[in-house]
Order: sequence, then C-alpha cells, then structure tokens
Amino acid sequence: MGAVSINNVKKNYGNMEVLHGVSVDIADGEFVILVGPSGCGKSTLLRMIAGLEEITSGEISIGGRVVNTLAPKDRDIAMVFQSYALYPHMTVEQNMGFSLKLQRVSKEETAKRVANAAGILGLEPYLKRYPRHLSGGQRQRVAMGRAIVRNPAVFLFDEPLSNLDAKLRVQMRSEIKQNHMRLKTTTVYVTHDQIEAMTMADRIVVMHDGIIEQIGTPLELYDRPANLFVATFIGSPSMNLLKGKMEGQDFIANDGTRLSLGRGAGASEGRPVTMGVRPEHFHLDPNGVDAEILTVEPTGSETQVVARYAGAEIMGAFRERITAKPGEKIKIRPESGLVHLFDTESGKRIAV
Amino acid sequence: MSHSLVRTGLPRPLILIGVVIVLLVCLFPFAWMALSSIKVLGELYTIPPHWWPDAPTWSNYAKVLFESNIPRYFWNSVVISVGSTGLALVLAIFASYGFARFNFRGKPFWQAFVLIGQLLPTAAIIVPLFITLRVLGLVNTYWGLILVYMIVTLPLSVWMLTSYFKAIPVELEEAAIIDGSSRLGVLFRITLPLSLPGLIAVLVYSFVTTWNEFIFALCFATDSSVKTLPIGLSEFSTEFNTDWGGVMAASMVMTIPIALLFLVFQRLFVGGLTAGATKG
Amino acid sequence: MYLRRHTGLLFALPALIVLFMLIAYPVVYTGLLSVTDNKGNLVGLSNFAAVLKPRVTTQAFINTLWWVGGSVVLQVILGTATAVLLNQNFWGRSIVRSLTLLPWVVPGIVAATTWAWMFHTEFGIINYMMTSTGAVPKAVNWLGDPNLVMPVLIAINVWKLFPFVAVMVLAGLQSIPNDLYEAARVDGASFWHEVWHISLPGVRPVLTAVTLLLVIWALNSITIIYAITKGGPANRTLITPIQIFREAFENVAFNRAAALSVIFFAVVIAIVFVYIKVSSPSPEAAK
Repeated sequence: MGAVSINNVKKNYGNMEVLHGVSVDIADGEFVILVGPSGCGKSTLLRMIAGLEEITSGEISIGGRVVNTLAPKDRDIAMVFQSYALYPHMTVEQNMGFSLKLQRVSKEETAKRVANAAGILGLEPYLKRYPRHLSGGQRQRVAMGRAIVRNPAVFLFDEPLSNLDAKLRVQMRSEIKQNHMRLKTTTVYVTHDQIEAMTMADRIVVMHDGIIEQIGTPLELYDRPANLFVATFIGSPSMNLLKGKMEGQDFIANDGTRLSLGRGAGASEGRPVTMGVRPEHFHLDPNGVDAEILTVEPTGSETQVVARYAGAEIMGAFRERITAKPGEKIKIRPESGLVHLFDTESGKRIAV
Repeated sequence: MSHSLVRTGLPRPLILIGVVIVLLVCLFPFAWMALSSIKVLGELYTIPPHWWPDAPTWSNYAKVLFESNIPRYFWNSVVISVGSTGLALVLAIFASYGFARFNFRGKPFWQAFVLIGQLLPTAAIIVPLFITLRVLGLVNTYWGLILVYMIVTLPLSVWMLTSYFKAIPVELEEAAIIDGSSRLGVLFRITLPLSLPGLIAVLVYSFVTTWNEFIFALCFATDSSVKTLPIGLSEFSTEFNTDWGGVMAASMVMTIPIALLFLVFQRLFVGGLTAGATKG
Repeated sequence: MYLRRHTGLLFALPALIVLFMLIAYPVVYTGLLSVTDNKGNLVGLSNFAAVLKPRVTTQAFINTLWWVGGSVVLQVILGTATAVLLNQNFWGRSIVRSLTLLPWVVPGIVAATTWAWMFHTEFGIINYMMTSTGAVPKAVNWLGDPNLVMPVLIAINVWKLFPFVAVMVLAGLQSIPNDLYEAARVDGASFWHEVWHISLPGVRPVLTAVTLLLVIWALNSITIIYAITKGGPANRTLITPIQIFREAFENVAFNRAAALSVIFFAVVIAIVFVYIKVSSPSPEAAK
C-alpha cells in the first residue's frame, strides 16, 4: 500500500545538479531515515517525494503509482515540518482538521478522527488552544497529529526534532518510534543527527553531496561501513583513521609503526590504505604500542582518552579507569578482528 | 527587561522641556484651527487676536455644512478614496504574493519598475495623464481619479505587503499545500489572515494618501460633481472672499476623519511603515 | 516551491498592467509631446529652446534647489533630534509619538491654509506673538516679503514632514540591540557618546533611505506652495513642478510643459542615481 520507490532521481537548480541520480526502495510499513550533513540533498529528496520540489528526471512512485506530476494533495502523503508549520490563527483542533475540511469530510467524521489522533498523542486537553500557547513538545505532537488525522500511505518527517531541547528530543524520539509501531505507516524521516538515525530507523540511507553513500540497517552501517564517509559519519565519537599501507598481515602506519592485524588486504597489498578503528575497539595491552596521552576525560562508565598514536591523534574509549596524566604513555592495541580497512584513494571498504 | 543601575540618557528636565516643545510645535496649529473655527467673524479680525473665543459659535460649521459644496466634496472624497484604496489593495495582494513567493523571469525588473513608480516626479506625468484621461473620457469622473490614484498607492502597497508576505514562513504554506490547499486557497486561508496587520497598514496608508491628494485632483477633477475635499478647501477661500472662520471649519471637517482613522490604527500603521526600514 | 514557471507573473500581472498604463505610457508620451507641436508635427528641440530661454525657468530651477535642499536638511536634522528625544524613557511616550505624527497625516492643503492663517500679516497669531513679546518691532508681511516667503514655506514643509523622519529613525533606534549601549556604558561612554558612536551609525541605513524619499517628496510637493502663494510673489516661490503645472493648465501649452517635464525628469533621475551611487552600500531595493 505505502511502498515508496525512488528510481534514478535527479534534481537540478538551474545548471547545478544537486541530486545525481539516487535510487531507494522503501517497503510498506518501513521506517527509513535519510541522514547526511547539511547540503547533502536529503531534504530536497524528501520534498520531491512530498511534491514540493519538481523532479528533474527519474521516477518516484508511492504505492505502485508514479507521482512525478501529481500535486502534493493527490499523493496520499502527510508531512511534519522542522518548524512544525502549525497555522498560528487556528486552534489545535482546526489545525488537525484542516486537511479534512479541504477534502470536504463531514464535521462528525472530522471530529472523530481528530479525537482519535489527539487520543494517540495525549493532546485531548489542548484541542481548543492556539499553537502559541503550547510548549515545544506539544507543538511537535500537534504537527504529528495533523499528519495522523489524514491516515496517509506515507509519513514524511523533515528534521522534526531539531527545534527541541536535548531531553525532549530523546522523549519525542521514542514517541515517534512507538507511534510508528502502532500505526505501521511507511515513514521517511530526514535528519542530520546520526544518533536519531541509529536509534529510530529500520533502515538508514546515508547521503553525501547528492549521492547515496550506503543503505542499510543501523548496525550494518556501524559494523560494515561501505566507505570512509559512512565510517566517520556514523558513530559517536567517530571512528579513528590511521593512514599507511599493508605488508602481508601487518599494517604499517605512515610514521613506521607496525600493527599486526592477522589479516591481509588482498588486492590492495602495497597500495595506500586507511585503517579505521572505533574508539571502543582500542584495548590496554602491555604488548601494544605506545600512546602518548593528550587528555583524559572520565565519564564514569568509561574513560575517553585522546592520545598520539602511530603518528595520528586518536580517541580511545576504555572500560578501565585510567589514571595516567597527559604527557604519560600507555600501551594500547586495536582489536584486530574489528578494524576496518579502506582504500585511501577511492575511500572504498576493502573486503576481507 | 534589562534595566541597568545607572540611568544614562538626557536629564529628566531636559526631556520634559523637549517633549513640551515638540508637542507644542506639532499640535498648536490644530489647536488654533479648532479655536478659529468657532469664532465669529468680528473676533477673527481683531487686533490683538483673542486666544479664546468670547462667544463660541457653530455658525462657521453651519455655513460649511449647509451653504457650501463641502458635503458634496466630502462624499466625492469618500467614494474616490474607498474606491482607489480597495482597488489598490486587491491588485497589491496578488502582485505582492507573486513577488514574495514565486520566481519568474524578469522579476527584479518588475520589482524595480514598481519601485520607480514611487519615485516618479508627479509633475512630469501630469500632462500626458491628462491627455490620456481626456481621450478615455475619464476626466471629471470618479473612475479617472480612482485609477490615477493607483500611481500613488499601488507601489507602496505592493512594497509593504511583499515584505509582510515574505515574513510568513514558507513552511506554513507548504503545509497547507500538503493538506490539500490550492494556491489561491493558501493565499486566502493562510497568508492573508496572518498578514492582517499589514493589510490594515496598507489600507490606512492608501486611504490617507488619497484623501489628502491635491495635485491630481486639481487637474483631473474640475467639475464640482467630482471635486474632492482638498480642492473644495482651496476654493473655499475665494468662494467666501477668504472667510477664515469657514476655512478653518472646513479644515476641521476634513482633518477629523483622517486623524481619527490614524489614531485608532496608529500602532499597526507605524509598525507596517517602519517594518521595511529597520529590516534592511 | 514546485510551481509552473509563469504563475508568479500571472499574480503580478494586473497590478503591472495598471502601473504600466499609468507610468510607462505617460512617460513615453511626455517624450513624444516634447518634440511635437500641438498639431502633432515633429518640431525637433524647439520646445526645449522655448522653455529654456525665459529667465523664469532658471529662477524656478534655483528656487527648486533651495526648496528641496532647505526642506530636506532641516527635516532630517529636526526629525533625528526628535527621534533621539522620543527614544528616551518617559511616561506617555507612545501617546506623544502618535501625536507627533499628526502633522504628517493631515492633508497638505489643511496644513497650508492653517499656516497661512497663522502667518496672516494683520490678524495672524504669529505676528501677534512676535510683536507682543518684542521679537519683531512691527507686523511682518511673511507671505508677501520676497526675502521671507521661501524660508516661511520651507518651515511649513519641514513642520509637515519632520515627524515622518522622527518615526522612521525612532524605529531604527529601537532596533539597535541594548547590549551595544550597555557595552558602551561599561566602556565609560556618556549619553552624547552613545548618540554619536552607536545611535547615529545604527540608523544610517534608515537615514539614507528616508533622505531619498524626502528628496523625491520635496521635488513632488506642489500642494503647500500652490495653495499659499501659487509661486508668487514675483516668482519667488515658483518651483519647477509648479511651472510645469502652470504651462500646462494656465497657458495650455502642453508641448512646452512636456519639454520642461522631460528636463525635470532627467534631472530627478540623475539626482536619484547619483544619490544611490554615493550612499551605497544602499539597502537592497528588492528586499
């Protein structure tokens, strides 16, 4: 019913191409997040699905129907905007019922559907209020309510949580997720916050400079990033990168440090490679290599250490409580089975 | 709400003196107009002049209201001001919406064109306008002045409304489009209700400007069936061999509606007028 | 937003057509009239020669410069001073602000007649106040004395428009963040330092735009002069717009009036252009 298929879609503004042909298939009921740095084209893509931007070339279909030339209202979608875009001169009730009013749905039916959505979102006490009298979280719920009331095939979210404070964001994150589990409506959600993406999505589409870098489940992206961009974009604190080359089963960093990985690089033997190590994959080891400590940041559950290691500045996150002071040295090694290797020139992951 | 402990600024007495002077300068002529309008002829022409009328009289007003053409001109002014204000508003709403929300070829040129309308020396186009109106048979008609007043009201109306429309978040309109609104539906259900202060500011501005306009009226309305109040007032002096009591009474009749309109809406009006100035 | 290409133009079209009819067409028509005679025959530049020759044209031009220069300079100075005054905190400030604007709102013709009455030589309140306080020895013929009439008319014009400057500049002053003043205060600035180093630079863009508007208005303002002196006495207050008006409607010499209009128009455009160039970076017109 609500499957969305995006097929080789391009977008030009004048002579400038901002989307270079992207393809994604989103299954009915799936929660897909488009994530990437600002300017990567994720919002443009979402707005093309909504019908707010023209599709330069390619095809978008919703529920098996090509929607390229359909007006937004005929696409069976609803959208939640970053600023919520609540109509300031209408009450919560009128805001939520506006689309039904335009469709000439009867008053009783509208009231019923608004009450139903308000019930789901806990908005019953606020129906008669105006948006300016609501808190940020409540406004966010009204924006979702306005979408739910329409019972569309697809929900579109454009950075809906970025105007909320940190605590509320975490709470709304789980509310949106719970609503999705209950309504099972296909959802396309845009954010620049990779934590949001990781915690909410069934699948994540990582975009960068108008192309799709990788599509996969959150853990696939974390465990097997397809390239250097995804590797550094997903995960916080982000992955450490060491430049060097492979000699047999050893990685030789540019400063000459030799790290044994217990695996080869296949065809990339001798070529420049980049080794990626997530902070939590460094371990203290008396047989490891010296790391000169720059700062130590205990967070309680773990200790984050910034150190100079193999000619680069790296961050390690250790379960142990480290008492060493800046300037002192500790010996650490990367968990060899969990390091990632990338071709430095192309940025592509080197398969084992 | 930040009030610093040390109050800098002008000393209190200086502020007081300054404000009193400014108010005197601005308001004294009105006071004198009002006082003169209720004096009898003999009292107007005494040396030295009397400050307060010894025998206040409504006779000047009676003369203006019952023995002159002023009531007729008042009605003409109302028709022409309401007509041109309404027409300008309708045209400006659509034009401003087009400028604020769409990109089209030549938009900067057309916006500059509208702006130049505001800067045009009126004296330079009176002659051809007169000839054009004469050809169209619009000299000495309501429609002639209503149309010509578009020159005065339309450019600023378009400018003010464009900045009001631009200030309304685009997302609101996009939300309405997704909710199923048509373009015109968006304009009438979302944009206009949210621009109400701007609309009022534009209305008041247009009305005041057309109500006060003198030169076009002088050239294009020479028949007493369409003459407006300003023309009536300028004639009044000769008509009664400069009966200053009558002139002042007529001035009051002309000023009071406009002053009331302004004072009622002044907050919106000043806000609308200055919005563009402070944003730039 | 996703739209067909011409939708915006369609919205703007009715207004543009009306303005085009009322502005572009007459401007072109003026040009045409200026090089033809009253039967429509091309006569080259003879109309221009005819209007430029009489001494009165030069005099009107000089009068116009005095009128515009005197009015605008005083309007800006007094308006800005009033704005600084009204920017102080005192009780009843908003009422004072509204009342101050009244001279700007009332019809020009009302201002003209009321002031003409107040400046009346025999029965005017101004002569009474000045003679009774001893400021002048005997009644002054304000509107009949060739040396006084222009300054008097300028004064009336200043009275009419300085409130507009005050309100615009006041809005500019109020949009200056309070932090700036507080920072200056911490740095030891006095009130006059604040005015000079923070307030005035802060309202520069507003002043630039307002000044341009005032120049245009002064060039267009016929009402006050026409209603009080009609350009007299002895052409002492004849400004070019009034001369155009007289040529056209009193002498019924449309072609010569058109030639004068073209010259006037060219000068105005030149002034505006130079002003915008000099005062740049000017506020973007399109914004």
